[in-house]
Amino acid sequence: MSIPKLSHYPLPRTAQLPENRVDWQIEPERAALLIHDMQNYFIGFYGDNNPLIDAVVANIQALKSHCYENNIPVYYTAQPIKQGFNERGLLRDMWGDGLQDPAQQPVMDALQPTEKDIVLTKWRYSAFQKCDFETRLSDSGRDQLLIVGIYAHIGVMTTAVDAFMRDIQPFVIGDAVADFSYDEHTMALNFVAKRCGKVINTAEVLGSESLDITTLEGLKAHIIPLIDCEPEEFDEFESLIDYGLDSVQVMNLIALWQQQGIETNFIELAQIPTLSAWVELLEERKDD
Amino acid sequence: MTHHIADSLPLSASQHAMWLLHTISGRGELFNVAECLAFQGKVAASVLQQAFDHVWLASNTLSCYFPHDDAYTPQLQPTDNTPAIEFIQLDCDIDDVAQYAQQFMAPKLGQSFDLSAQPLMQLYLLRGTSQDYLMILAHHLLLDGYGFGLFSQALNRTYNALMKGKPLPNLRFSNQQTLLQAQQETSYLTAQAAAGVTLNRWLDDIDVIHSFSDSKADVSMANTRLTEQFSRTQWHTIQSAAAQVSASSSEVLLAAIAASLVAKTKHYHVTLGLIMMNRQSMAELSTPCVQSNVLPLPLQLCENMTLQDLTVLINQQIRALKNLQSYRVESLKRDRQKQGKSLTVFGPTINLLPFSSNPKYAGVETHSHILSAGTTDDIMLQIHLLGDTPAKIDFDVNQARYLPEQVHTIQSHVFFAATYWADHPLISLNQLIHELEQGAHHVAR
Repeated sequence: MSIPKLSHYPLPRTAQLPENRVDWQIEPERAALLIHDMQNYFIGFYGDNNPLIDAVVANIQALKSHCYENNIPVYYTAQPIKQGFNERGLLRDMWGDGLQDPAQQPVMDALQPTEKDIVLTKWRYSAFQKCDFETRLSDSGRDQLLIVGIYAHIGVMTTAVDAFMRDIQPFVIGDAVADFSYDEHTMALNFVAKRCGKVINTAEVLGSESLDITTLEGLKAHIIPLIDCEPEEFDEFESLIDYGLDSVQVMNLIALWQQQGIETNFIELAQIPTLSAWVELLEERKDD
Repeated sequence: MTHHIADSLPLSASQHAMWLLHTISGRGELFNVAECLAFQGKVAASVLQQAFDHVWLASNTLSCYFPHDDAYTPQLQPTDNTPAIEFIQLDCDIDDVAQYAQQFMAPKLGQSFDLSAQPLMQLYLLRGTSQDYLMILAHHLLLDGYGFGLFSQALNRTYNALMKGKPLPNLRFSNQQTLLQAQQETSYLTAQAAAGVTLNRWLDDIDVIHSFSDSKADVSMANTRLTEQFSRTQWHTIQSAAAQVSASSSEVLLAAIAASLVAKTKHYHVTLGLIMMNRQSMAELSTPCVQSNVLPLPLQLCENMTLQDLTVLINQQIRALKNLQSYRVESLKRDRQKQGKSLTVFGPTINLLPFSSNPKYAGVETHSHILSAGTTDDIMLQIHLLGDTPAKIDFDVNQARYLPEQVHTIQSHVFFAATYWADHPLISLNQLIHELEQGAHHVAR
């Protein structure tokens, strides 16, 4: 009845994020950050040294620093231990008794709240339930909520829906949330993007540019680490096969382009094996 | 009836090797390859034939046969005969395409082509009520995996052009003469000779080469296949682990296969056979022919290796092997024989298949099923790399050497090793082997 043992999976890249229905823009004076349920108890189901959690924590740390720099308040949710029968309500039927060990209750060390942060007690899936979160946001003039943490398809998604119904714009940060599986993670992001909020990646919040691997420069930056060549010696008109790019690496590129809606295949790329010709082909396919 | 339309041509080393295997084995059917292209709708049969004619005649490496003289020297004889697609009407659509296609093609796969007198490809268009299915049978002497991809892509391109009323496309295939010329260049021959020296040196450093079976039973027995696909969750974990250790998913799979072999044999020197594309020049990349080669990939493992350690080693060795891929495995075996050394130059054979594509035929979507990609005298793991879709592995075995339950055990060990090590990338090879020996793989399935 408890949460299953969880594994790791790749976080969605920007090109894999669902298309948003809304074009809301984050405004620092309107925004707040919610770090959702990153307690030892919930993190523990991923086991030690889990690369998914390591990546999510790194992104949350970067987002938190960004929020501090931009005077965006930071909230946490944390569930209490040993909830009473009525306090836990139907959650008991679904998940059992929940958190019992006091050592498991704190937020994980890497994301410890500081005195500037506000920690909310979490009672239900939505962070707004049975607490004054909405009032706190309203009192501080915040009507945009950036949500990160675990688990994407449960508390994160439900909090986003609840925020939406309270006329607070939810932004779920797709690579700063984690879930039971990639499919549930994706489902949550799709639902938010289509029904109640906006889904973006950490890089977009931070204003950093991500690599566009359909352009000459972006593709060059992606490929050079894969082959034995110094950047200054690379010639975009020379055969990539001569440079040592192999079929599996080409397949990985095809999958990345496919995520951006560009269809290619190994055979056609192998027949024009230069970076310059590939970029030309990609430009043609973008127009298809 | 075929007729002489041009002078005959010598064979490339790859073609000659395949011709010899066919001729010496007396079991030419072992070298048949087959694929089924399932259309998610109907195609215009006459246009498909027209497209096929155009592709077939676009290179003499396709439109040819392979007669030999009295001294058993084979030649490539170009011909302008095009095989006719055989149309077969079905009563209904097919539910399980892969299974039906296997059954339909089994008797055809069991018949040997006559290399000296017939085109080495046969096509059957099975016409269901709302869907069509194209079965393609060819001899490996005509096409390898990459060559098949070139052919399929050209067929698709030509069909789509015809359906749009456009002129027949210039396919820009290279022909036999261009291929031979490229492979006779001094730089090519020098690199090939150097590769032979290096490969022999690699093998000299190995005591014994092991596989999953010690049996040396009949090498020409038929193959049987067990196919298994990773679940989405397993595949996502493998992808994530690959990213974590800066490797590709296929390198993680190779690491799992190597670990499974160590668990089985207790020998830490693993030598896999890796099928190499063996196409570097533009002539080789644009010729629909057989060119692939299978070469030893020696891996010296040690007890404390982590997943990252092993994938780094695999990556380095594959990079080194790329420079040696023009030296034919047949030549390597001949070298070993001359020196009185073992003819076993690798253990399990690995075929990484990244050529999958599902093109649309005038808007009709397709799904391809590889029914046979060649034969093995021991065990061959054909790894279908499908991008973000979980990889599928065919475990093809010589049934004289492996019982079905042994193949199931090998499959479950490889899958367990891949998923467990991906889940725990920091554990050592020996810890992984310990888990395998504890029988944890039964739980994993």
